[in-house]
Amino acid sequence: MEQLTNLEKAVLEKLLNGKAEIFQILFKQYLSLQVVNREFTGVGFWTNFSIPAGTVKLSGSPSFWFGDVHAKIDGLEHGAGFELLVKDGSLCMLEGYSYDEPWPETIRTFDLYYESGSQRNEEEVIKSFTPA
Amino acid sequence: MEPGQELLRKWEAHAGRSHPRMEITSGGLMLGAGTLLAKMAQDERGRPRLGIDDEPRAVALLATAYERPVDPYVLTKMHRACELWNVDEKALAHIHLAHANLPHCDETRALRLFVADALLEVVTPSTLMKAQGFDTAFLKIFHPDELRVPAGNRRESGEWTDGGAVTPASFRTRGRIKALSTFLEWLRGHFNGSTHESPPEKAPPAHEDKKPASQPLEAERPSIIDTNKLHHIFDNPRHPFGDFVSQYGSREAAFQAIEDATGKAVREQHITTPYKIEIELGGRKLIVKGTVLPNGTVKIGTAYPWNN
Repeated sequence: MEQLTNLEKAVLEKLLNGKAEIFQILFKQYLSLQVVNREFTGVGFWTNFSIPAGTVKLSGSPSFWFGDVHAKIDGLEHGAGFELLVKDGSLCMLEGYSYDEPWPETIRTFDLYYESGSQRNEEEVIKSFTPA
Repeated sequence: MEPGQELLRKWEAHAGRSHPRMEITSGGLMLGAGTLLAKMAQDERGRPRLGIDDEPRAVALLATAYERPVDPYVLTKMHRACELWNVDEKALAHIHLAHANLPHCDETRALRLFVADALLEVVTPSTLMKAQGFDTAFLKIFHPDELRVPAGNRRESGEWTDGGAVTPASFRTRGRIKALSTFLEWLRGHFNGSTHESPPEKAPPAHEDKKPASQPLEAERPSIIDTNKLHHIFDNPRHPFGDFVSQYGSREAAFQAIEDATGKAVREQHITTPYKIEIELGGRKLIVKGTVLPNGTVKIGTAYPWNN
């Protein structure tokens, strides 16, 4: 079974790091998720997840996208961005993308940061959720 | 000496004056090998005054230089730069020119600009646009109240003029447009190392790489869209584009449409950092995420339809 890469782990932990209940529930899902498949597209990747039966889902089973985390990555002059898809209340897919640069074959070092800077406004992030 | 050769001889004398970006000089708003997009005038008190008083000429010049009509946004920035220069805000004026994001005017473009300037002494901007297969509507969106040839005045009545005397009809015939097209084609071949010694007498076959007449130039873009990027955006099963691509005929055209709409939105919103924006295209609402490089180039990271 495939495992999360170090980059994926770090991005998910940063995306789901919040006090709001929605982040708490999704973070618990993250702790038990399994990687279904991963595809490198040449300019990024998408990794699909599954959540074990019985794992608590978000109330109302919403589906949405969000991604306020960016990365400085060795080999990518302009860095990278990420988007997380939550489907029917569960973590579904993480997408990473470069800005027209070839995705590095190996990523050894990276530095993640929030779009808003060091202070993250959880309410604003939740408001930015895009219905899927 | 053939007219084309004479022009090229004059070009040799100008080629050293390099202005790869728009710049305001004592002569006016300059680009390329010293070509003036707008000439410096004087106000009623004799002070220098700069303005894009002949927009159709500027539009035709830029379209010829870049082989594609420019986005109206470029003209807006040029106007703003002139206004600021006239109130002595010279630095701000040049900042607005930089924000026009007009691609680098290299030697080929500078030559095309130079020749277009010479041609516009004998033909109208409309004729020059038509000769290159460009939609003359791009000349009309800026000054709807501009002078026109009265309706009923032969075939080209209603056509916009450059505000002065109406160009003699002989310059506006289809034959003249064809001859102009032929000349421009010869010029292109000459600059690319063709063996033509003088303009061919007959029009060459239609260009295989003819630019779409309705697609304005918005920014410097790579000649080939990265197929990996197309795959990343359009082949992800979680990006439900449906028949979006088929509306545009190809993934390249669909991506181009997204890129154009995104560039426009980013500039209108003055975004200079990583962005997430909504655009509407082909009856669908899309989310586009990307970034803006320090030189103003808008990059797309990903895009997907969203459920409103």
